[in-house]
Amino acid sequence: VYEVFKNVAGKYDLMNDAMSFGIHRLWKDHFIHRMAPVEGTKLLDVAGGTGDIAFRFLQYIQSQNDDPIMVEESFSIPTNIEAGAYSIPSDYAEEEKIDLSGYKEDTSHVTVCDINQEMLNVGKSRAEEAGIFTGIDWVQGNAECLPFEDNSFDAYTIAYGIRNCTHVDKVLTEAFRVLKPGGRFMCLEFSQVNNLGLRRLYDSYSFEVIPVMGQVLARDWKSYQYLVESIRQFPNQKKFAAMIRQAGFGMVTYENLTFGVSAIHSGYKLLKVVK
Amino acid sequence: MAAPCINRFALIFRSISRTALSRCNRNGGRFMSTSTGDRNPPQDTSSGPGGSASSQTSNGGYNTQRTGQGAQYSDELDNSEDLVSEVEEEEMPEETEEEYQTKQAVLKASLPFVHQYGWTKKAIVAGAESLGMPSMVHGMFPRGGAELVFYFYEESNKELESFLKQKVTELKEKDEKIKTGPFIHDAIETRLRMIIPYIDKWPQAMAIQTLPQNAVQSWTNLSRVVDDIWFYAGDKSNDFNWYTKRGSLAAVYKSTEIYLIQDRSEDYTDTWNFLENRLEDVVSAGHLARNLQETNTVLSEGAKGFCVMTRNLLGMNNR
Repeated sequence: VYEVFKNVAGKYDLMNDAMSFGIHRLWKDHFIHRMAPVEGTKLLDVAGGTGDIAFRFLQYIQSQNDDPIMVEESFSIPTNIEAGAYSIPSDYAEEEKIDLSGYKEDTSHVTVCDINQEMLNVGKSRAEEAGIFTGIDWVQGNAECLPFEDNSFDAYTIAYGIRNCTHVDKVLTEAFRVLKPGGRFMCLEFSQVNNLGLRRLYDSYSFEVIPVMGQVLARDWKSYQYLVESIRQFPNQKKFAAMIRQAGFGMVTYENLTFGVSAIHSGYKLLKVVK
Repeated sequence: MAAPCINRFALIFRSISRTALSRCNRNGGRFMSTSTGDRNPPQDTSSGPGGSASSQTSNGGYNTQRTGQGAQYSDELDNSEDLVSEVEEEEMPEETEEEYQTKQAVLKASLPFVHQYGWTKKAIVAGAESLGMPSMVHGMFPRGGAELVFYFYEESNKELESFLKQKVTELKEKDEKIKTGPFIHDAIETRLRMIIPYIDKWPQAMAIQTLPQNAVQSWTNLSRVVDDIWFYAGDKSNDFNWYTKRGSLAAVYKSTEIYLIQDRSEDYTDTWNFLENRLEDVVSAGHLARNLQETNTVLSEGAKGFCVMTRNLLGMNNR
């Protein structure tokens, strides 16, 4: 797995776009909308090497702060006028680090963890280009054995990473461990297309078109064949939901995106552990 | 004669509606299953007490069958190591209890924040944080503020029911008969007084309830209120009156609620007067309906008699 992603890292984003015709951006946007994070959330993004989810998370929170939806303030005269107290628009954020933590004790923070340093490096350079310096950490680590303490994150996400892990149940139990009680586990992953007609189409597209694209664009047939096969051997939506439940999560739900090509699974670490 | 097929249809309809409602709102599903056990709308208008008794037992039987299935599913869950199951909903019965408690706790803690944030996701976030839970918990409530509104509504309904039960037992002890008019007036007044603490944000709650995605649930809640009131007032009707009584009371309740949110009088006395007048309207409408029916009978008999007389005169009578 390490080798595959070492080879793939450089052209990862390009290949994602080509294979899914850019839909993967929509899927990730929808994923973050489903999470609907509030200011002050601490996120752990596992296998999120190039930082797609992490950047979207920060952008979502910032956009919430920029136009807050205040209920009572639209009807009454605002009494609390502090110029830009809690959010500094990105225009004013210059190259030097701006420490926003002085304004609010718990600013939102995302820790990106990946087993592969190359992917993290790509992510770091993307962050620098985008001008994001605070609120994001890049840590190398194994999803089956996370280098974090118990009960330390509000939310755990893993986008298109879990099918590559050898021991999915270990990843799930680790996720359960590092989440705070009341925290949310969210997983975005390729899943089974239930509609039979579409499934044939999808299968033929996967096995015939994608490795060819891989060869043409990244000169790597084998990696993309591996990718397609790993999608097939991953458990389907219901089985995966059962596995999440077995790891101890409650309120496990899943949502299909584009007829099941992708699926969002979500679970909560409830306060009283049942199993 | 028509009873069996109507019963079957009602059972099918009820099972469909129950699964549909339980899918879109699990909490609502719980309440639906408890309410149909107590009292049911009449199955057929033609048969008298015999028909309603048989429908009662058939629905009771249906309910035990449902709980039997629930017990079977949780057994399956305990025994099987392999949690691969065909239907995701099968595992819901065991999980839902603890999840339900957690959700209720969060919603209860969020109610005090309604004054500040309204019936919105922000209030739920504030409530969760007051319990020490991370703000991500708001994802448990996909409908956002509407869930808070329904929670509050359901809690108020429960309070109303216990109040009504208590009142009925009090009257029974004193061996008095229940006077329907004042009883209903008191019931509605009590129920509306529960809104008064949140009256500053209640217009928002009413608006949320009229949204199409929430309309079904709010309709169920409202029908629960009027059903409770009539049941404890001693309604034993088993014909179309069942529907008209509840429909008219629902209209009275809703109109009084709307009046209440713009009332500025001392202790809302104007609202209670309004309520009194509406109830009188309903009563007089009932009298009017009866009068009309009587008039109708008299007139139709008169018309028939006139026709017979005409035929006699014209010699068309072939007797």
